[in-house]
Amino acid sequence: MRARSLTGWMVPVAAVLLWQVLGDAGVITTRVLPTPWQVLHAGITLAHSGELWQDVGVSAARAGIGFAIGAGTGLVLGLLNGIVPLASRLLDSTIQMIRTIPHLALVPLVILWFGIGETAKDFLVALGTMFPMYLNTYHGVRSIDPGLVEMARMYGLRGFALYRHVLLPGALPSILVGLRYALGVAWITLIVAETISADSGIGYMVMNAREFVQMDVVVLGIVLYALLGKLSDLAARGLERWWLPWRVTVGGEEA
Amino acid sequence: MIQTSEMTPAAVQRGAAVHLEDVRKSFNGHEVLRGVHLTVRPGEFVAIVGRSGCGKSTLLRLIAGLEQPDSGRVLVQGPPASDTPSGRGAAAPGSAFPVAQYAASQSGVRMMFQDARLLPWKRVIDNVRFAVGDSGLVGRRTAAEQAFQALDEVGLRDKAHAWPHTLSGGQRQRVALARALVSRPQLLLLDEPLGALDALTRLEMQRLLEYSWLTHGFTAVLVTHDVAEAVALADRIVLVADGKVALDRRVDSPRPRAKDAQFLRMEQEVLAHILGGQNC
Ligand SMILES: Nc1ncnc2c1ncn2[C@@H]1O[C@H](COP(=O)(O)OP(=O)(O)OP(=O)(O)O)[C@@H](O)[C@H]1O
Ligand SMILES: [Mg+2]
Repeated sequence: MRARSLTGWMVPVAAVLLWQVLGDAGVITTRVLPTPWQVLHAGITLAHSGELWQDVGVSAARAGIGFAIGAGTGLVLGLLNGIVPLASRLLDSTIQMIRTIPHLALVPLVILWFGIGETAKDFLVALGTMFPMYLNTYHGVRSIDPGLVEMARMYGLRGFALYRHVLLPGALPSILVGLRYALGVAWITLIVAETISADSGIGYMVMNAREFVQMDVVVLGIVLYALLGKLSDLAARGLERWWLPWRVTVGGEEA
Repeated sequence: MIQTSEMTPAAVQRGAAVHLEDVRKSFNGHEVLRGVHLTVRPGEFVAIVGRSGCGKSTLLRLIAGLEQPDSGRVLVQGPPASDTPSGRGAAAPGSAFPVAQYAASQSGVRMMFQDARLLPWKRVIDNVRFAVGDSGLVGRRTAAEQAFQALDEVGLRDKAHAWPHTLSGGQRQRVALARALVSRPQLLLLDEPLGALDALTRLEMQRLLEYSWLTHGFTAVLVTHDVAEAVALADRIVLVADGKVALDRRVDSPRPRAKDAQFLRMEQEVLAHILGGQNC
């Protein structure tokens, strides 16, 4: 398993090395694309001055707050509609309708509503993360084996106990799929929102650097987004391993 | 029946009685049960046989309160109040009332299915333990002890911390049995719980089932395709055909039953009845 994960790293490492070599050789001009080393250097400089942490912190907070609100709402709505048939009949078709609007299309409207401050970003991230969370939670609850629910009822599980022992754990695999997906959406949304308008955050840092043609900082911003996205994905997978120890893993290692 | 009650005096008191009066049930205009009359006495072991699709499972689900009859009455009568186990499962002491209410009051009716229906996200021990319930009377510790004891009974203590998906089919059914036993059932309904097992495991499970029934004294209603299984385990064999009870045959031979000439004669007789009937 260790050898296999190392194999997975070979191509990216080779690509970065090649990029560095081509940059040094002048095949790729630094005006077009700075070398990895230059990007790293820009990162270290900005980290020293503290600007980097400031911007990363602001962006992470936006992603976190928006995600918490959006995914939280999606989770609650999904559970509610999955468990209570009346709620589902009342709300599901409405939610499905709103879902068809691409949330990024709302950016101009949101800027008009909330300006370019934090509320606009939190709102967009929340809107984007709510639906994947809702859909997967709802689907997760609905696809629980009815035989298990029947059995649990027969053993006297009702209300909260039924939810805690059967419905929630049964829906959890699907909920975690939704969570992973929603995290991805959160970062994408943030990138778009921050790039279009912001006065702080990674997107602001990148757009600012663009004005002054600081290519290394521009690329650094992109790399930072990628790293943060990867980090949250790793966290979600950690949760999966922690919360779903009972899952049969086919073939040992997941993607 | 008289023999059994002599062997286990507890049986009569621990088991629930079942009365079905003119029970009818249709699905989509097709009448599956057309006036079933059946009485099961406390502590009795009744096997229900019949062709596939003739309504055996439906009958069992009606008794369990998982379905409601279109007409007629389904009554489950708990054992006398003096002898009900403490805590939950003590519903319906001495009084008869419709299954819907009975089931709703966390009764001592339990059911085993062809699939074990273990919760995949709970380890074996927790699958058993949640059936003990945690009413104020039963503390956590004793609940765990009872669960371990039930696993002991079915010979699976060493699998207590395994995940259900790592067990074999037979082991899963044994866990399901432990789960049913730990909840102190008054009435255990079994819908072909051994149907998917190989012949040898089947025989072992039959013995385990009989032993549990003898020691715990619950009433058992077993649906099975296997007539030999019915003859080996039941006090009475009930044939469901044409939506009615077509045969109600008492089996009196002493337990444990050997496959002697009398056994085989009985098996042949019941089989002839099944084959002789219409296709429901
Ligand atoms: N929920 C349901 N909806 C519609 N039809 C049903 C339902 N449950 C049972 N039936 C029908 O009722 C009839 C009896 O079904 P049941 O499951 O009781 O048969 P069975 O005797 O248990 O058969 P088997 O031995 O194959 O398990 C069948 O024709 C079946 O299609
Ligand atoms: Mg059946």
